Amino acid sequence: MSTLAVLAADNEKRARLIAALDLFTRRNLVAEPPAEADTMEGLGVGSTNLDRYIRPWINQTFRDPQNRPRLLSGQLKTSATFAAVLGEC
Amino acid sequence: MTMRSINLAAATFAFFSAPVAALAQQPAAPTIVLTGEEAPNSRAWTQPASLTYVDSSDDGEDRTQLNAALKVSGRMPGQTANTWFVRGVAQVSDRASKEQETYALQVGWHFEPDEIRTSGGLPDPNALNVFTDVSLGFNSKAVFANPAAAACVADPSLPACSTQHERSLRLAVDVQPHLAAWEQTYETRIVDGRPRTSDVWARSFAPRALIFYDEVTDAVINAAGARAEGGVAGVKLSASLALAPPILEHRFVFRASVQHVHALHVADARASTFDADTTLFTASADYEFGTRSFSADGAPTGWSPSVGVTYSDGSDALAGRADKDDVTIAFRLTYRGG
Repeated sequence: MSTLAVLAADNEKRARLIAALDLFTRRNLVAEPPAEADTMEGLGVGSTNLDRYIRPWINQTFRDPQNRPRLLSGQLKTSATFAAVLGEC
Repeated sequence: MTMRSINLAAATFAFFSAPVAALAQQPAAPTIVLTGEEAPNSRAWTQPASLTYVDSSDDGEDRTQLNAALKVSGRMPGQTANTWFVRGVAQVSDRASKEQETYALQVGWHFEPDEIRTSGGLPDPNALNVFTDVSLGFNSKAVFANPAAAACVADPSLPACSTQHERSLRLAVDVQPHLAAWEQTYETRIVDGRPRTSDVWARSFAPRALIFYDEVTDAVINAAGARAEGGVAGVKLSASLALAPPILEHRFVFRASVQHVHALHVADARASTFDADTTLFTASADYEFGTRSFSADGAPTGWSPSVGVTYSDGSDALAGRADKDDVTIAFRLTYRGG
């Protein structure tokens, strides 16, 4: 069973966010999952990639099905912690 | 002409009406951001709003310069991330090396794709992502006289031999593409109780294309004595690059940008006041020894000191900047708000 599968079995939403962030950082977040207090900047996720890829992906993957308002450009900041971003999903 | 100067104060202020989590619950809450220039949310670096006092030894006169852009934006109706915005811009300088006086008030809309491309249920980093801003603005720019022109030498009382103000309505479409590979930053770890960045060179690349149509509402009188009325249509292409290698405990930040304004159509009467092709090059090197300001919304918050040099050369017909070169050595204090 892969590390991601183990994470997904525990909390699918959390595992999907880790897998998405992993695409935009040099750290292997799947092998070394972030702590709740780690910021996006601390993980090495750039502000533009956060705004152009992660934010829209959260909107269409998590918020649209829940009919929650979409996150706007500039609203998800690199100072946000992993726990805060997970809370937006 | 090269001017030695001391930039005493430069600051970026980013005010948000509520924290991120709260904003998500309050769809109508507007966002307010103050920066130094008209710029998209995502860019290679943030140009801070600044009020500069220059003590120049070249001409013995004190000079001031103001660069500020205040943008208020809010959510558009429906299940969308598109937004409306109102923006005021002021670029004013009475420095001999880059005399400029431009004001703009814009109403616009920010559009982004309804869906991004995914792969395996995750965002696809190889997909080109395009944001588009459409705005209608009222612009005012000073057209400075050239006292050395033959007509002004012969008759200094001519209208074209003193500073005039041109006002216009401008429709602009601002296209901002982005690929994930154009941005790379570094992670931070806590070592011995202090945050330390990795040795990765941070980089950011941001191209931009602005398509515009500018129609004069209040014309200036050109050297031939005619009113410079009519429209100008064209495109402004720009590319910005920032590199930030680690040096000692902090970061050097090298930035460069080049922009070219090409007029596709210029009304005959405006040909003497609007050059068909203008290019502006800017480069800077700064050593940031506090809170970094490389990213567009860097963290943590607070004052970030830096020292560096900025070089600019060229002209911008759209912004009313004449063809000049300039070197500024500056100590800057940049404030980042949460």
